[in-house]
Amino acid sequence: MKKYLSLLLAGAMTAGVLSGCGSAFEDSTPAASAQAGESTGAGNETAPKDETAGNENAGTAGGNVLHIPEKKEFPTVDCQKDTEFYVVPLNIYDRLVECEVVDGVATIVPSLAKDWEISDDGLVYTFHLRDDVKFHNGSDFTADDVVYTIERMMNPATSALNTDFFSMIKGAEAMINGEAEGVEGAKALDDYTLEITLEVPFAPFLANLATPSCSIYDRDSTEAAGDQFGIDPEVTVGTGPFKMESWVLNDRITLVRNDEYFKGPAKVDGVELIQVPDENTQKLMYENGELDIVDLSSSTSQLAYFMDNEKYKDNLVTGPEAGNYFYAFNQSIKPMDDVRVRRAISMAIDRQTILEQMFNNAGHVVNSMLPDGVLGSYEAEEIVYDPEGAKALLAEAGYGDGFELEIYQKTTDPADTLAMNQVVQSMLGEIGIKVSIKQMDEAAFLAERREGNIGMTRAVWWADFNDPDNFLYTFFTEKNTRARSINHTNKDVFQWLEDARAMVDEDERMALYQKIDTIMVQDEAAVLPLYQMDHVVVVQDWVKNFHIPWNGWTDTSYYAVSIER
Amino acid sequence: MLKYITKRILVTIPVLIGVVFLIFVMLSVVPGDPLTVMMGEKVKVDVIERLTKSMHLDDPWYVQFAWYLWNALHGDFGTSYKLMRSVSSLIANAFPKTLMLAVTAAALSWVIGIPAGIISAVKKNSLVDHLFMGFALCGVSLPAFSVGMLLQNIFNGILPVSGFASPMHLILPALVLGWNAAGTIARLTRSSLLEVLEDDYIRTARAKGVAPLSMIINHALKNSLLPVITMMAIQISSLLSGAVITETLFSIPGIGRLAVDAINGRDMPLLQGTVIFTTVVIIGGNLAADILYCVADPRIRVEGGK
Amino acid sequence: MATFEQAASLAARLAVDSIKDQFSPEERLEAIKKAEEDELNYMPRPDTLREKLRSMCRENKVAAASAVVLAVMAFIIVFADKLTSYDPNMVNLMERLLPPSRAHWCGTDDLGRDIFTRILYGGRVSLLVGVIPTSISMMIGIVMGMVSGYIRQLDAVIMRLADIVLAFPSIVLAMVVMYTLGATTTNIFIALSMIGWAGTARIVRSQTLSLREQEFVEAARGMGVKKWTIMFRHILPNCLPSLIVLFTLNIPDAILSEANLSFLGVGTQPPDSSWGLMVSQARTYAVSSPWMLIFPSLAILIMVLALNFLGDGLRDVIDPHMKK
Repeated sequence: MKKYLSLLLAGAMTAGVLSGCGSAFEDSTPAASAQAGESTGAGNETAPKDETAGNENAGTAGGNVLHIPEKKEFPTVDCQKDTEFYVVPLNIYDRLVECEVVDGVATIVPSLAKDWEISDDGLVYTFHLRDDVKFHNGSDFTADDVVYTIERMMNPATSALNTDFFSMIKGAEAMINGEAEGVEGAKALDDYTLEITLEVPFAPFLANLATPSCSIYDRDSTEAAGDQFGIDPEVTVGTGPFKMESWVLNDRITLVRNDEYFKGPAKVDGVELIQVPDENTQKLMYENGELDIVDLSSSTSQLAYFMDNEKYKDNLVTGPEAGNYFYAFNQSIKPMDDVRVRRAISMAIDRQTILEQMFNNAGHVVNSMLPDGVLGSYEAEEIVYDPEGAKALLAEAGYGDGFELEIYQKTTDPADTLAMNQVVQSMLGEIGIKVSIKQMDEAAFLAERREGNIGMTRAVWWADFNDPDNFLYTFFTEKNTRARSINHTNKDVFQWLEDARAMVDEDERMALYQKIDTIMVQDEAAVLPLYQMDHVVVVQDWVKNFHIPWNGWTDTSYYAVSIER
Repeated sequence: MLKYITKRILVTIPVLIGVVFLIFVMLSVVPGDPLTVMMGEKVKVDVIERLTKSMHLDDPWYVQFAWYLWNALHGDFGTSYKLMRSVSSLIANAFPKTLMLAVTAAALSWVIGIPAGIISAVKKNSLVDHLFMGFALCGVSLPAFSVGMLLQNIFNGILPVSGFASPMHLILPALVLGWNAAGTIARLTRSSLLEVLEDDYIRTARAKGVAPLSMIINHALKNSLLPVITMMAIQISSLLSGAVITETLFSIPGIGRLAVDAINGRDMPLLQGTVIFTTVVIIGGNLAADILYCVADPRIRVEGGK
Repeated sequence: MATFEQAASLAARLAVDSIKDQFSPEERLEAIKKAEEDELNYMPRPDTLREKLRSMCRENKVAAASAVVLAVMAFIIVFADKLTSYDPNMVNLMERLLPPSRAHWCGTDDLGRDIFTRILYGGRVSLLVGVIPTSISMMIGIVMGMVSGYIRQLDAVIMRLADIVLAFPSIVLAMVVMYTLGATTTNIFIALSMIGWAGTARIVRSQTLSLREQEFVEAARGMGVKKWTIMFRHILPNCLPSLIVLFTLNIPDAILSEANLSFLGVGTQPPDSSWGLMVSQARTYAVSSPWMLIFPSLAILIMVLALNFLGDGLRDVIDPHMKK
């Protein structure tokens, strides 16, 4: 028995591997895909294996195709099952509504839904859908597809990670708990009219529908694709401006233009998402013209090079990120349970100097958890850098002789996190706090943080959807404050956060969020907001009409971008 | 001979089961779970708890162990949690890269290592000896990432310094690995050649005026290369099991990176798959080395056969 | 590894045979005589360890020089605080990434810390990581190897255990250990000891196997000396020379393993530095500020190279049959 086991083990693995041999450099070269892109009218060709272009040419920019570097391989482009990689979903699917910057303000605009009505109690949303939309496989987009999308997310068999984007819909919780076959609150009144009923009012619902996770799938083909949806380009179908053409694992994903796109075809023939994990290599490839757009905010080590170089002055595209960096204090770890200690730590960190010296001053110091550009942001009182005052506060709290403190971080954090923690370590040392930096591997860190056990740590949050709820609810509800190792105990805040969701009056709602923010940041010093960074992207001369999306994400839609040589 | 090989293969069975067992025990002790990693910043406790149940991640490790063995017995090595693809397909994707890198590196190590070893042995304790050995040993005397970064620095803009898109991309990582292996090869060549050279008969032959070069080539080298050749077999197998550091530095999606990603993601099926695979490769390499001996000289019986 | 030893002696024998065939018996006899004379006249075989060392110093100047270099490095590292006035962990954002100068001999790093100072202090970690886990793993390896070689009932179990450790990708094993125990210097010692013992165990086992058949061991056994006494009193001392060589050659491995762990983020923890950590932290700045990369790399190179030369030199005189 044992013998067979081992033989099988060895045999099966070897067989599996040998079948994959001989194709180490699998290339769908850009040249090849550019041609494919130009001939998209011919329909869906499968992964082009054009061997005519030599391997050396891999990645050479040219034609009317955008070349974008990606640092990590995506697990799947099914955005119900992934919480991190949204660039493909943003380009191959559509949502009912989108969030776009209109006259400088992030606004919800129609997309698959032409228009909509909301009942006075804020419970029933009636969407009128466009009747001229087709999926990439040619089938019509109807209200039933939206119902399917919602039910697929809530179906336990899907093992979706993003269920909370639909869980406020009536009957959604019942379905995911296996108590119902469908979602009661999602109904197709006819082919192009959709009615969604919520369990309780949820003011940010529309904004919430604009997140990539709420992308709409085609019922028939997605059902047939099973677990290959999001992995096999053939069966991964959306309505978006680009179609997924090929995916060579650990090499590149090729998107080609969808000529039938209902908003009109995209300006470029296609997009190549190329795996280039190393930031320095990204820089070199950009300089060789092999990459058209490089996101410097996610390749921070190259930021200074491009920002300090006169040559690239006109190639930089910047825009604010709708997100904050902050330090989270854990109130269940002594002495961070004492508000005076938390405030002293906040006062002893010279945020301005760190921003100037370490981050090229590409951003601004913030004093609130609601970043500019997000609904409800306001002018908060400044948290002043005052080491002497901090010392006095510590003495008052009975820690005049200092104490030991641990700052936690992940080993996989970018290099600047460690550098910054070391700077803070040194700054807190000035007021007598002996800081040690504890690096944990990502999985252990996240597991411990979920249990509320991680000490002071630097974190960052970017808006999923444009509402203060997306920030304050994420950090300060009873469940989340533990899951993020903040552990604050203000019961009022817990209650207000639930109340605010159901408020219909916008002004009242925003006022309440501002009150919560002031209490958590100013009064309780539960967190120390650090910076709102400018998102910096470098684009080639020939790339036109590229804008930073409203939320400042790296992942964005390339629908509007054009190439003009 | 056949009996010996059979015995050796049988002996690997407990080793393999031991490896699988060890991974299960280790991953059940290490904090962290795959779902929390997949969630990343967007930690949602309800979702994690629900999926943990539905994916049977809360079963005791011995139950998971039993299931794994049962499925593996049927040729099913599972699906990676994080990468959502079958483990065999992921290994099949990664292995060709590791294979090409290993073969190139091994070839480089011989080209550097063997001549360096020969020259050093012939000119024992001379300046030339120390220079050649010094050069060969530099490869083993620096961490791979340090050599790699230095090379990346030097060849920045001349050669591709990262990724795996073309044969050119192979050069630097293969140089790092090859230089490292060359140190070992050069040492072994030198010392086994020295041993032969210092043998009484050889010294006599030398005293009798046999030309040193032809003597080295005709007698000494031929014989002293045997241990070097077996060393090569072992080195290739260890290169094939993935050079974690080099693959990380040069962003090569090979077996080593897969294994590291698997641990970092607490991705049990993927870790099992990669480690079983590399274990089989390493054991196979050692076996091949030992068989080489037996073939070369039946007087040798391996594994304490005296 | 045992197999290499056998291979080497096989090679020697084959060489001898091939030459044998070319000489008549008389010639051979003459040759042996002459060789013996050679031996007597020119190469008195050193007997004691001290004499062997002396002969190494005479013949292999590089090995001798390496020993001196190591002694100097050890001295500098131990008295680091007397030799530099900088605080190794003092952050000074105004002096980031300065090139080498009179004030900062090796320049400053991304946080404005003096690199020379950090190399001196970082050497302490690297030196400890070289010596301590190597000692522990060798002790484990010696006991395991002797038990395996002497008490035959346990042989299979111990050797399979060693096989598992050797077949398992060592960096993966070390990472898992560090993840489980947490990243501290002590745990680096534990992780490296856990992966290091198997190689030593194999070598000690094969030596024990041949020693246990020798007359003096059999005599002791005949006199009723206990097993453990035989192992530690009679067998161990005879393994010592090769263990000394092995020790010298294992230290570099440990230093490099720590560097690799640091590169993967689970080694030495900041703000403390080890040479490996300093090099890996230079990654982002390798192009713009190469001194961050070069000087710590040089420190590792010099120390490890010296250890390797010394180890090779020792092996040449003490135990020429041992291969690593």
